[in-house]
Amino acid sequence: MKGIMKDAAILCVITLIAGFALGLVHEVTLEPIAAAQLAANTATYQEVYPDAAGFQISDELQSAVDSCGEEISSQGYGNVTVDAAQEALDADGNVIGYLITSTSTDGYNGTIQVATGITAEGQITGIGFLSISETPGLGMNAENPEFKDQFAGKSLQTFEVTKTSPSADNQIAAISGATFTSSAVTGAVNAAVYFAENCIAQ
Amino acid sequence: MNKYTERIYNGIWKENPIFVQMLGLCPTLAVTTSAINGLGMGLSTTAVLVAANLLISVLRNVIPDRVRLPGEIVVVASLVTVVDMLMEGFVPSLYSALGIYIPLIVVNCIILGRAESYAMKNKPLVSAFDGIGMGLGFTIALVLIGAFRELLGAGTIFGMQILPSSFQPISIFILAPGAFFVLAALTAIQNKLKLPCATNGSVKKGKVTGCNGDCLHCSGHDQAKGE
Repeated sequence: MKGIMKDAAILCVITLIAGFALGLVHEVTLEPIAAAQLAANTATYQEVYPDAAGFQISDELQSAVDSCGEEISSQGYGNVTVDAAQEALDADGNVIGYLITSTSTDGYNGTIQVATGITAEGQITGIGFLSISETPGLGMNAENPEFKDQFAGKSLQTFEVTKTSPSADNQIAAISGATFTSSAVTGAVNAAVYFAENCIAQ
Repeated sequence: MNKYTERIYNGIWKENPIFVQMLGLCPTLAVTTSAINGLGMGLSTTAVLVAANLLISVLRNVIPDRVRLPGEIVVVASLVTVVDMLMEGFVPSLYSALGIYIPLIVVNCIILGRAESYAMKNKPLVSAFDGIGMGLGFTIALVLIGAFRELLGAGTIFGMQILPSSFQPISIFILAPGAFFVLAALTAIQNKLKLPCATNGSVKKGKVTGCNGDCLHCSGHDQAKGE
């Protein structure tokens, strides 16, 4: 009996020390992790909208995001939501376009969050992934330029996925072996396009 | 060969965790979809393995024998979480490449297996070298399996096109079933050639797995095996 108490006490101490160590590391890394995520997101934004010097959130866009939610989910783009929208600014602080973040849950594994850059003239500057965890070697090929660069430079329209080589301007060639991922990404981009065309007051 | 280099040779060749001991097969099946994934998982595991072996070995006289399994699990799981958080906060570039593998390491039975069968009985430094050896052995095995699957499943190795583009990739090899095909073929070859392997009784009893691959009659006392 005494032995068990002693063992339990030692185990308890080990667990306590481990718990405190975890708490300490969590506190220490909280800010760097947030900063690292912000830096990663900013890098993605820059990649998506290379001409922009900065991005800012405006009240107007935020209220458009809030009020447009239901409208977008009824457009048949799948389970997509527009999460946020920012104004893309040039070096002088003029609004030259928008950066829209949308999420689709139609992927093969978890949610796919896509950032889409759209100019004020109505052209897609590019897309990038803020979070994606598809199957390595298949769905993760969405990150390759061959797939995601298909959107860049296109005018605003509803895109569709094709498994053969694209014949129309609005067709996007699916990733080989990853139709779910291709459709989910395309759905998320469609939601962003719809948002830019119909929800932002010009 | 001194006892430190002997540990490394032992981990890479004589008691290779995958090919000989058949330990840690869950992550092996899950992440070897490409050679680069195998390399990432292998190196992350090596880092954790070295640290875990070192820490367990230092604590080997503190952890009571009867509660050593929960003690080891607490140490290993905390260590992995700490590594995960530190990496995400301070080396985000490394984290974006290896981050997805870190949580998988907690359930990797090689870590617990080495803690239990080696670090609990040996001095810290030599235990750390055991970790390096086992980690490198694991890495080499994962890269080989990953390269093979990537070659058949995508026609590339480390992302470089190897097979001519006329080759139609057999994508099932980079899906989950492909992992079983490759592992089954590997074990079949080992059995046929009577190479040392925990599954064909060619390894002396108690030498490697402690149970000689005989999980049914294994009391689990000699070594924690299983996932």
